[in-house]
Amino acid sequence: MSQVRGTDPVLEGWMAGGVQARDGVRSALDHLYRGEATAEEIQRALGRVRAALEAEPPSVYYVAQMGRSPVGPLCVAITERGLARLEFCERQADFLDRLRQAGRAEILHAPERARPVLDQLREYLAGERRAFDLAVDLRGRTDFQRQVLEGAARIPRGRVTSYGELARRIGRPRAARAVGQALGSNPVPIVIPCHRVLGGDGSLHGYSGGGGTRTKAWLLRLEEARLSSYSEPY
Amino acid sequence: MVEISFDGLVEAHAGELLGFLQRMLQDRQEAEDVLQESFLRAYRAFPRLNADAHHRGWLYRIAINTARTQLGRRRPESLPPEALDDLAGEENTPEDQHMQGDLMAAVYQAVEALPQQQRAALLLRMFQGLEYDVVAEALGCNSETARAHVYQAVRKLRSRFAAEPGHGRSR
Repeated sequence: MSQVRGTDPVLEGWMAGGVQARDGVRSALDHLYRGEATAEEIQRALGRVRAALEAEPPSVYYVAQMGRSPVGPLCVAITERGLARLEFCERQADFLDRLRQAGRAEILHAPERARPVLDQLREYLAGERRAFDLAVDLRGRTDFQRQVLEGAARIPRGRVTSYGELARRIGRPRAARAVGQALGSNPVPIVIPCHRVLGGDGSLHGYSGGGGTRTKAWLLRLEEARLSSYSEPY
Repeated sequence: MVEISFDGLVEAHAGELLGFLQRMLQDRQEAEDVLQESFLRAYRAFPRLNADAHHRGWLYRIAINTARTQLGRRRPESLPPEALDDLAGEENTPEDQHMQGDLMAAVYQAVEALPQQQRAALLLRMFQGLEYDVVAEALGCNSETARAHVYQAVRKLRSRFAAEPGHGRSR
């Protein structure tokens, strides 16, 4: 039987009245079942689907470890959207425990899948790469946390800023302390450079990863950051 | 290996799945709800999906199962109200509308009365224009069975609405 893609000669023949269906049956069928969703309906439905998926926690983490780096061992978790977690961690088992506690996602060891991320990290930490070209997955963060993290991601390499300035930048000038907290829970340090944010007095203030402010200072040295720039607009 | 992104699947197939769910449920609002739920279910199952699986058929299968859950929740209706609303807006005399309404109700009932697999197969093949291998994937059967479902559905509709010589438009 020859077939044109998407049609069926026998069915179409019957529908067209070739087998003498009662008058109007075909148009009734068409009326009931043929109507396509309009472009507008599709866009509205797509908007809802995107929003629902945005609120849905990741269903799988692909994890891998970089056993040695200049800032100590690093663990990463990647989703189909991008890098979701990067942690300074001595033991991968601890990292996996924290991931399990965060949700019901499946955890798969996938060094191959993580390779592009680990390669970029290695290059960056070796001073061979100036910027990351990675998607990050910030699902599960509040809107405010996202704004802060996205704001931090826009601080150029070689520059530093203050919590207060970052707060102003994202339109929340009185939220410097909350900005600090949001940065403290940065799920992807180094890649989102929260280390470029200093205290109001230009001190390193704090860093939750690895060796604390020692690691922060190391990263800023690597980036040849001008620490005196913290009070200048960028 | 070509990476299939889930977001890519959503963008590529949301439109046709919405159309299918409207056909299946005869209610735009419910179709939207079920589309959203289907994609959430698909998203959760996506990591366990075989890399060489037929994604389109797989999405249809999830949509069909989600729609069935939805259909199980609601009371059966003789005719979707939306179809009659549309009819009233067309340029017909009230008599025409009445006659068409009767026939449409009969056609609708006949389609809705088909066994689930046959009805889904008919919609997938005739109105979604899917190839039989995709219909099969969507129904979780082989292509021959998918084909048989479609033909059974057509046979039933044909015998129900075949024209009788000399009887005009009556059965």
